[in-house]
Amino acid sequence: MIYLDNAATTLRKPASVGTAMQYALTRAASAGRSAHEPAMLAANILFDTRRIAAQQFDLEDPARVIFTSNATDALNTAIFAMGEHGTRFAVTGMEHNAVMRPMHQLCRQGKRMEILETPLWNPDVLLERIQKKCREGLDCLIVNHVSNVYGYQLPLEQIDAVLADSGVPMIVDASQSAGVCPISCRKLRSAAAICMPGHKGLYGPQGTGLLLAVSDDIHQPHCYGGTGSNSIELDMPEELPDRFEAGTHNIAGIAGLFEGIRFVRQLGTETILRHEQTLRKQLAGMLRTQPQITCYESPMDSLQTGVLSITCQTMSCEQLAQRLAQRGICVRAGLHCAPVAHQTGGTVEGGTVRFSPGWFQNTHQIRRTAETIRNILSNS
Amino acid sequence: MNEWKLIVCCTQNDAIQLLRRLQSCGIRGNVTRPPRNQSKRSCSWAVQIAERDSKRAEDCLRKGSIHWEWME
Repeated sequence: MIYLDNAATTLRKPASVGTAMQYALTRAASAGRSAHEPAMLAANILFDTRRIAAQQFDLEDPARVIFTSNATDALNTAIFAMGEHGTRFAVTGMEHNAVMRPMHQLCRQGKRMEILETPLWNPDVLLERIQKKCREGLDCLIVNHVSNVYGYQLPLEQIDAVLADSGVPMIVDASQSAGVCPISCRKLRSAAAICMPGHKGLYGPQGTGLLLAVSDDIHQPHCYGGTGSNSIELDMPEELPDRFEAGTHNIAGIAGLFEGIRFVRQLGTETILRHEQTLRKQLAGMLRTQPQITCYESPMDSLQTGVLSITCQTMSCEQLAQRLAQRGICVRAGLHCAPVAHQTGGTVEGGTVRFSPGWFQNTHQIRRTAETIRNILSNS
Repeated sequence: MNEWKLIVCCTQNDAIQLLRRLQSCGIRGNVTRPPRNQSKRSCSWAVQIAERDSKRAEDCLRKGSIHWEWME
């Protein structure tokens, strides 16, 4: 099997992830409730994972690392929290439904949202649009750091500079960038929240995610329940992280996430990104020779991660993905839960086939993938 | 004289952070639940240390810029 769907989830994890999860599953109880040994083991797992996440993302206070069940959960919390502070929202043209659907709900509640649709691979135009929107009046911008469809890496630090000068807060969807691109909470002055899954570039298990509650704008919880602290009060505690962590934690998952983050830190995001970009360029280079195939590639390498989308003139993306699956090659076809991104890129009618190599894929697998596509197209 | 003293915290996360700081200063302790009838808020957390370590603990936490509150 050749797994090229890491943008959905990384399938192969470092061995230590499974080991840590197995250990936690059988030895760690529930954190934040009792103070006996298995409960404290769980509590220390949470504490250590917050700390390593804070180190990875240059966040001073580990208590601002909030565990969620995935990036969607984190984004919902952040977006609805920001909904308490203003009515004028904007999003980029690359957003995933994890942003668009909660925003749609906020719009039903009377908030306004504008999609700053700008051409693919043109960050200068995007920056101009953001500047213009800030001048017109903006309460929050939501930015997809890296598109899950095209791998388009938006200029986050430049966007941050524009927003910080205007006093506009930003929510970052780091679903495709966490573990791949450097992200520093300290440097992103306008960031109110940075949201990410644990199960993609951080090589943790599914059922984990992180909300970095960078600013105090992220104050209103999205989920209410037991925290094991100040139980007599019906309001959620004011203190972080408890305020945003009602209910029992996914201790085994978070134990695995710790190992995933440790793995990423050992390799370095630069090394991981370079590897994925190399594989993407290799695949695109081989597919470009097929006249039926259109590869969506950036003219500048720095604007695209390892994700590659293609369309095929002679076959629907679903058919091509199906035939690849039958030959043991795993990709994703369709709109990738990001119709807005496809609208921007001009592929909303037919969708695309997306290839997303990760650290554990190699050039031999990419070569086989390209050959397989050639065979499929020549036989169709 | 009590053998132990409790430093009260709002969250378990705070308690562990405090304990780790004390451990870095060579002070042993453990995270525990303080007695409810002596707590200002319900369901608090505390770090229990030996009474004889309390002065050292204060110095340690002060240097680490960690706020502390003794349970009376």
